[in-house]
Amino acid sequence: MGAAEPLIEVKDLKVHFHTEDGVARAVDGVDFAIAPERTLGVVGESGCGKSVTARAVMGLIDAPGRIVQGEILLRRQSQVVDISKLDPRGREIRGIRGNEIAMIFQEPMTSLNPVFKIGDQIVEAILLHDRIGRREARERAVDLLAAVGIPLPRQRFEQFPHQLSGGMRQRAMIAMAMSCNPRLLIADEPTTALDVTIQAQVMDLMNALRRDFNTAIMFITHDLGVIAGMADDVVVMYLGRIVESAPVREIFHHPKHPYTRGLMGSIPSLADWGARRLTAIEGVVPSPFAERQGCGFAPRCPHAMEICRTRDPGLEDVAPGHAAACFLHRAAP
Amino acid sequence: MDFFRRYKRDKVGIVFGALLVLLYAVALTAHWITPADPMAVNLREVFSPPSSAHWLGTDQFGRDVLSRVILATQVTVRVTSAACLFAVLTGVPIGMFVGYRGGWVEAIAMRLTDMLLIFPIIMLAIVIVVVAGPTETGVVVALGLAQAPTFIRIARGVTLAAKEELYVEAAIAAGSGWPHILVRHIWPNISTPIIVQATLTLPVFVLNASALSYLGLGVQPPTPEWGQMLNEAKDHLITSPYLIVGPAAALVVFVLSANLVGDVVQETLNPKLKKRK
Repeated sequence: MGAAEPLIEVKDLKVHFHTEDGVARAVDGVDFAIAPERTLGVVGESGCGKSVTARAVMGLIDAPGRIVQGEILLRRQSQVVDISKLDPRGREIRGIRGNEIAMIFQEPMTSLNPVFKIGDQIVEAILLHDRIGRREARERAVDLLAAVGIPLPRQRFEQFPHQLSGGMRQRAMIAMAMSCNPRLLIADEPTTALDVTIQAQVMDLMNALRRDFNTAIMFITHDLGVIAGMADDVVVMYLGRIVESAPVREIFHHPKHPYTRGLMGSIPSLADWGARRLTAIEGVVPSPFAERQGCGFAPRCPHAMEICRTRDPGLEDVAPGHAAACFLHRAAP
Repeated sequence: MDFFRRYKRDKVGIVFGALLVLLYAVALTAHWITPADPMAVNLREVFSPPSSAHWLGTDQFGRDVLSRVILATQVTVRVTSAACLFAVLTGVPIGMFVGYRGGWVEAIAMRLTDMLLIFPIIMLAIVIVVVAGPTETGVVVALGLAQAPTFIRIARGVTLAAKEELYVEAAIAAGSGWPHILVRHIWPNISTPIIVQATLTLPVFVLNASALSYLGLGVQPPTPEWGQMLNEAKDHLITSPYLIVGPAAALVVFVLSANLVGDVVQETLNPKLKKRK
């Protein structure tokens, strides 16, 4: 990561859900930082805690979930705020949401209110944080619609969500998220519900916006191809923890953790099409209710050793800027 | 207007909608269309049967019954509209707030609502009228408060469903506070069932208003009200049975039309219901 002061720093974050079936450790000790104007890709399969992490950063954890430990430090001009300590209904977090940290969701079909015109929803978002006139906000909304590549922005302004295609709606959502020029944009699987050509367009758009608006992005996905196209740095999550973290080139060329390698092995490749069977990772993700002992991935790991079942490896550097939570890459313990 | 275009397809809706509109028109113009002064006592003409001069006859004070029924329409419409508005304006905000807020606030509010719901509405209204006094305002408050729990429950139910929508979460993520979310995001998406409930409850208000004044707890004489006119007419049922015709017919027509119009409004706003028939 760059030398710049991180914009946001998450330290040992634990989010647990206290349910009748027990305690689900959805996020169980996660550390990462995002520098200004960088893109952090968060990869992992369903249920690994990546969305819960994002929600925690927005202060959107609802009962029965609770942040039981850790800090989420947002660096502002003069001071540092710990989001995890703010009242989730309070005034302070509302001034951060949408204004400093904005979020876009997986389902563009349902994340826009069906009874409001697209434009009015963007105007609302602007007026929530900026004290400007309605007319001025309208102009800015039209500009934003144009900036996210929506043709005929003035006409689209007057349309309702059901009149727009999925890709257009996701663009409108992005316009809404960018309306207050946030310093961090959290994108929770923004391309998953879109078809591939639209996916590529939306990714290009987000890359362009990052340059134009100087926004850092936390990009959550289970699609490694998307990560390769978007991220500067990558963290791989498994069972509520980060198992590997590295710059994007490093992680694709020298994956260290067996889980990351497993994910890479399950990407189809055009180069050796038909010559190679896709490798699957054996087994299933263990229940988050289970008490953890040793490395969480050990039961599925082809290289699991004795030590893996008893001791927790913890995230340690294996190369400069590259950390992995695996005993395979340690000097003799 | 899409609503009226679809509403018009229903013949029952047209006929009874027209009747209801007629009743409201009568109510609005009551002061000008009464054939005689509804309050004028004429002791030389007591208990005269229907004639060309008095279409529905005259009562024990010689007052023109038709004129009194017309004025009573106005009183009923005024009282029930105000009571309905009162119930909606108290019940819906409470229901939306507790539904959205959840937690112990919701639990307590809903248990209190349940407690109010176990009383028969008329009994609750009687208690409130006794406290607030048998005036028009008292009746409005009584009927409104007696029906408010229904609206609390409905508003809470639909709010519970609406607050799980992703656009609500997106609004929270954009930094909206709860008043903004309730008014701008949830209300427009839940207004339909509440409008339907309000139209379906209107006839209940009319019946209860009449029942209260029949019991002498509603609008006080000499102001005419259907229930109170029926109460007076029952004393002379053997000798002058025609006295009962006007107020009874008006009551039946109003309640029937309001009921049927409510049904058609519901079907119009929710076309899926229609197919089930």
